[in-house]
Amino acid sequence: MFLKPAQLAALAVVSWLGTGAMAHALELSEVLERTRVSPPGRVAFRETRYNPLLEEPMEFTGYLEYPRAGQLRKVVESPFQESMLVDGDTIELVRAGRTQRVSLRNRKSILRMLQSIESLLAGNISVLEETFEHELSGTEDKWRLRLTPTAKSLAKQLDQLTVCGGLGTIDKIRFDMQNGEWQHLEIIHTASEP
Amino acid sequence: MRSPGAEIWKHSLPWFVLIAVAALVLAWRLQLSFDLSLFLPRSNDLTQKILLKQMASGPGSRFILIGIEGDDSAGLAMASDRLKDSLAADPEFLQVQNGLPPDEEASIPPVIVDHRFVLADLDYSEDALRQALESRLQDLAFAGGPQLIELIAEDPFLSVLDILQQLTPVEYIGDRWFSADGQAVLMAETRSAATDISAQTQAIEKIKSAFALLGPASPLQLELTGFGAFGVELQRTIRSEATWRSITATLMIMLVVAVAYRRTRMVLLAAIPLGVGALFGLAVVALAFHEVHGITLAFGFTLLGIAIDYPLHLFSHARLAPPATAMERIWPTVRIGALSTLMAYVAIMLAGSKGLAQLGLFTAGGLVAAIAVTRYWLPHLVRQTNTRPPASPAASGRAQLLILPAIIVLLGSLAAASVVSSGDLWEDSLASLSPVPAERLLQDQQLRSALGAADLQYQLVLQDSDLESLLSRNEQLESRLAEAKSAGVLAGWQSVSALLPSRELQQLRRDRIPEQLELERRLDAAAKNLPFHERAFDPFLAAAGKARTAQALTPADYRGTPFAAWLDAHLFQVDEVWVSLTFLVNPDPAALGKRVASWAPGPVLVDVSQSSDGLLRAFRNGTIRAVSIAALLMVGLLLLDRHRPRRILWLALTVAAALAVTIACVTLMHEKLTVIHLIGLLLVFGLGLDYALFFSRDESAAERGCTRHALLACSASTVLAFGILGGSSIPLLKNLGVTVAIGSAASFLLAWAGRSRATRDLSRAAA
Repeated sequence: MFLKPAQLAALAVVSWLGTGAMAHALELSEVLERTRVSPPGRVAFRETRYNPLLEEPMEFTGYLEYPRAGQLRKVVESPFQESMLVDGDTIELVRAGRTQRVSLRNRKSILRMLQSIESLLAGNISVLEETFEHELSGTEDKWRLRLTPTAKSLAKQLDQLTVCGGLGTIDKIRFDMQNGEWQHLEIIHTASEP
Repeated sequence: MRSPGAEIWKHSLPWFVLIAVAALVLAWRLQLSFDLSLFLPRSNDLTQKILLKQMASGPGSRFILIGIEGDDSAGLAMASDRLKDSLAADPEFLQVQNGLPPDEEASIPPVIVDHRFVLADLDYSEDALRQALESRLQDLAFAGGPQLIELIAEDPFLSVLDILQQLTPVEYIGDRWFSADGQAVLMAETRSAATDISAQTQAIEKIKSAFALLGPASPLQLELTGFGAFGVELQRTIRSEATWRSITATLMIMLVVAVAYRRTRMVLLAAIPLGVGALFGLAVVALAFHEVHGITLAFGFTLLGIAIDYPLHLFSHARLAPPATAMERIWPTVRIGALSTLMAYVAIMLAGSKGLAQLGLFTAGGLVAAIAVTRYWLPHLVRQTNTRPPASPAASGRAQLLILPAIIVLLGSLAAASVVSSGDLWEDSLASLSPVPAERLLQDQQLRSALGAADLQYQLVLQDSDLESLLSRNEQLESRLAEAKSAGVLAGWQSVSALLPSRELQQLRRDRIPEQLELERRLDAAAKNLPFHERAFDPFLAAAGKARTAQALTPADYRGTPFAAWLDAHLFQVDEVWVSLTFLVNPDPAALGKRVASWAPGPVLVDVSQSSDGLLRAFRNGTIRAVSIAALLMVGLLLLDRHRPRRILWLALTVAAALAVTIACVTLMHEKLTVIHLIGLLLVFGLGLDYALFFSRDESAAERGCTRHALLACSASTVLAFGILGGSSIPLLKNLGVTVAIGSAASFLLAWAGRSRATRDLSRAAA
């Protein structure tokens, strides 16, 4: 079984975002300040994913869980069952009853991606600027953040990362890879959210 | 009458010619080596040969183990990562690991990708294909990247990953390696062989400079171990120790000669047999062996130091008679002493390792040259010193020899030695033979155990004269191991079958690949209702078509790839016989042993630590046998020389007592005897016999004085020269030096004491 779970983990971290207060100026620091999240929490997602081997994109649904700081779980419920827990720099994958652990310590591009996304979550703009060039557009209640990697190892794989959101929320994240692959994650905001 | 100068010139000319020839031989042939494996014992047992082959070039022999200490674990972890990163890019190293999983960007070697269809058992049925495609879909739901996309298109079974996993049965759990005492541990595998000392020196310099770059003022400390690292260290130690120890030993000998004979000329003349001996010894070794080991060169000279005795006998006795006459008188005794020492050196030569064979040949060759120089050249160069009036040989009296003191000393020392060693005199660990200090070997062991790599202690050995038959048998072995694994007898294994299936199995796997159209049909059926692109697996179809008619995979296909060393560790030839080694992970030796016995005739389960002990025992017994034969030959020589039986008994007892005293002292200092001590005892045997022969000569009182004078000078120079060797940090040389220094002193004292009373008795009788 082949695993390369960290990219999804990264995605999951990005997508774990709560609601925040309304803002008026479109500054990255302010957007990040408003989207900052604190555990525990849980949110549903719908994911679309495409790569050149596929005729049409795959679709998954499931939920993201944020049990405590430094931990994040992504559970796919359909079309199959799979659970992935990101804990520090280790990923634990449960598929068909089998558990596998993978360390991310030596997967530099994935780690870098995770770090940037964590800094996105934590509102740490300086770390983000080390890895990406950013371009913020739109309005307070409908903004769009385009991140282009500057780090070589990441740029080899990732073309760009796009985050869209509304008033204090992140709604959509899209990864565009260099080889034509893309992933699109949509957060389903429901009343059950904290 | 010709002038004395012309006389000397006439007698010296042939010697100058011989010296020139020896020098030419050296200039033509002399090549230095610092290969540690030269000092490993030889063996005729195949299992032991395999063991030795592994020690010299097996898995791990190219590993340089790097320990870092001097910070908290976080700091060490960071240093470990940074050092790994800076070394990994260096072409000097095949791989550098610190326990973290292999880099994600490390590409899969083409040789595995190209031959994956014959390296794995693949099921091309519709069901199996469907299952594989569904799994890949899940993988793609979860991960991506151009590398994975490309890999899945070529290999929907992801068989290359399974193949690679078999090569490293230990799963990387993702933790950095730390030793039991908290050092961060890295492993760097060098491209060059461990025996290539200049390349190893370069590799070590690179590690050191990369480490220095971690931080100029950092508190971190670096420790390097491993076969190659020890070789480099040994070279440095030998160079530095050789310089000052041989200078000191030479100065000591010169001092003894100067004090004993009080003439500069004598000091220079005493050096001639030694110098010529060393030159000839070296020339003989250069002719017999391709390379001369650093240890032979550096310390053979010290061993040859014993040859200083012969000119000293001549000088002392030349105080009573013209040199030529003095030589005639002492020659029978010198000759028998030299013959016995020569036998001891020949025994070293046959002791069982190439390094020791060189050392023995060097000293034996040197000894013959030195004795010839002393006998035929030196008497022409020495002027009679004539410090005393000449005594007539007729005045000589029969030596009175005491038997009882030797018996008492012999029994007392043996009792002491057996008490100290609690009955078991011998230490049979390979480390005792190593020129590397024991604490460095211990450090190496600590670092190695941090790696948690496949346990190299237990292995299954298969051998066959035919490679194909060996590979087939190895495949049968694998299926039995799989059963044993499911029974919990072992956790895994590493075997050559992972990289080199037999031609028969390869053909079977090739035949299993369906025809192009049929495979395409099955793939289409399997992909039904899955979202894969119609042409997504074209690369797989093309590769399968190519594999159906590909040539058989042979060991040559791995040449120049990162797998060459791996293959060489698991499959090699010893004496025309093919040998495969299967390394076992966490085996239950007893349970596995029982199973393996029922697989007969088949593999042999080898416990490396036990085999190495057995190897040493065989080595030691061989040496003892050689010594016993040498001792018997010496007694035979004495009988042929028509000595009195009482003198022969006295000689035997005195020499035995000296040996027993030496054994008692060495066991007191070192607790157990190693094979190296045994070789030292051989030298003591030769020396002791020489002293005893001279002390038991029938001679006049005046001659007796000369003999005592000569033997005192001989013993003093031997004790000093070997004492200096005994101070070496190289265990092999330290043990040798200490044994011979103690033995020389004991031999002199015992022979002198056993005879001194007799001298008094004789003078009283004369009065």
